[in-house]
Amino acid sequence: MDRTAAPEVGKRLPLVWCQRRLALVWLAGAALLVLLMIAQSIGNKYGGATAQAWDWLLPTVVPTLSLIVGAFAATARQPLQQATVDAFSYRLSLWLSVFYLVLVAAVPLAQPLTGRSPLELMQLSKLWLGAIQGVVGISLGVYFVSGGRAES
Amino acid sequence: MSVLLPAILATLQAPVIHRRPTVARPPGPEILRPQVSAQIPGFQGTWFGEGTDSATRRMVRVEGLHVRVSEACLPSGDGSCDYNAEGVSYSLRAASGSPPVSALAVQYGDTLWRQLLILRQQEQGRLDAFVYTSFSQSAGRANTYEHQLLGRGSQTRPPPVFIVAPPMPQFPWPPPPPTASLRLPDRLVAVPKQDSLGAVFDRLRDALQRVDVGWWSVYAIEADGFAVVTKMEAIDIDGRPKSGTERWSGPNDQLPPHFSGIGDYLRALFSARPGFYRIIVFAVTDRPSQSAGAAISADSAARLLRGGSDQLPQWLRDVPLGPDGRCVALIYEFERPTESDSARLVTTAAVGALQHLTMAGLWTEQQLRK
Repeated sequence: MDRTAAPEVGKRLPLVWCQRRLALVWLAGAALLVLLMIAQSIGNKYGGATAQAWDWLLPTVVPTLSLIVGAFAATARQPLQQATVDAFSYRLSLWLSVFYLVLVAAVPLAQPLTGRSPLELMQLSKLWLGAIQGVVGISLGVYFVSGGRAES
Repeated sequence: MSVLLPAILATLQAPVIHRRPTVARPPGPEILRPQVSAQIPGFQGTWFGEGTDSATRRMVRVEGLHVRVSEACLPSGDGSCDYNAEGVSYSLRAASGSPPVSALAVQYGDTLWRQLLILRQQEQGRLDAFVYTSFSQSAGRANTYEHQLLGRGSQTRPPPVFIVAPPMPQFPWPPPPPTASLRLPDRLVAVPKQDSLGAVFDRLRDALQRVDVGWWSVYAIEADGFAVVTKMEAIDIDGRPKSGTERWSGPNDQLPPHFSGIGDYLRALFSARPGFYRIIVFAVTDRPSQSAGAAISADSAARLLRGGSDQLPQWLRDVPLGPDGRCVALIYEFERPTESDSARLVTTAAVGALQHLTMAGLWTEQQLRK
């Protein structure tokens, strides 16, 4: 096998397929996060600070989720696009999304191990989540905002 | 105590005076204009305060209405100073004719402090001295009140050597409302009319050292009592102290929790982990202990440990415990419902004071029920 070759370069994937995979990742991740928060709210994990805990969660996933669902809704009645996207670009977006969702989930999941109060940790996590969310948003924009301009 | 004193305070426009023992206000006294010394023969001469009921070194010389007070320099308490002022004499209104002078008041001071000294004839060869010292805000000291018996001095008596007692932080009295309280059996810690405060303090200290309650802090209760405040400790809901380092963690401390298994972790993940904390205050006093004031916060309670002294000063150790003297354990329990909440005082206790004290290991239930 020729190790100097770069077989992936130039490989393209159908845009719709990529959109659906990314949407699945985001919907599944967000659903798990919301279910976790619901369970914690019912268990009175946050006491009088339940609203603040939700105030932390919703801005971390809802904007991107709205973008994805909105794009699907907007194109639901249009004919299936035959556009393709670069495979590397898709993988980058996919793993960035997974990485971001794992980081978000890590905040409530790791909190019992840290000794910090949940709200304190949530405030702290905004330092890194905000930056990564911006990068993820840009990478997803190719698929859900400028999908029409993708190469066909 | 003389019925004259409150009225004298009012007429002299004395500085703000705190912690005055409650005395029924009598009819106002009649102020006598400056008189010849012949009318106040009982006050004339030199009087010494040390060696009576107070360790404070004080010399008072009365010549006519002129009063010279020698005592520790105010407001610092360093060295000795002489203060001179003209006194005002008072007699009871009830007396008819030319009533004898019953009290002599004198006030002196500077911009940082004011001291009001009221002398009252108590018995032959004795004067009651009531000393009210008020400080300006810039002096940064609390106003004080002191009673002292003055005895006749002799000409051959050496001049007094002033030993300045360090100021003793005061425990708020009446105390803030506790979660629970218990008067300890008389023979357990304090024996009224027999013990000095020092003896009571030693017994309490032994009990606290026996069970390792961590650090504690000592406060004075006025000039005739004291309070020992224990360090805030984390407890279980039944009053049992937490184990290990977790015991001395406060509501705001961040300690990595210990999980014995996945079940523990899941419980911590999905449900609140309430925290319970307590401080115990042992108040030794013969004053009424009816609680008053606002509920104490956890932060204020924690600050109590830092604000006190580590020892009972000798002058307070020597004070005898009065006939109503007793040791009252005041339990201040705090609950932090979740890690996101702040701790607040528990007002309806699930655990009584007796259980708190036994769970802390200080005494057995049998000892406390005697």
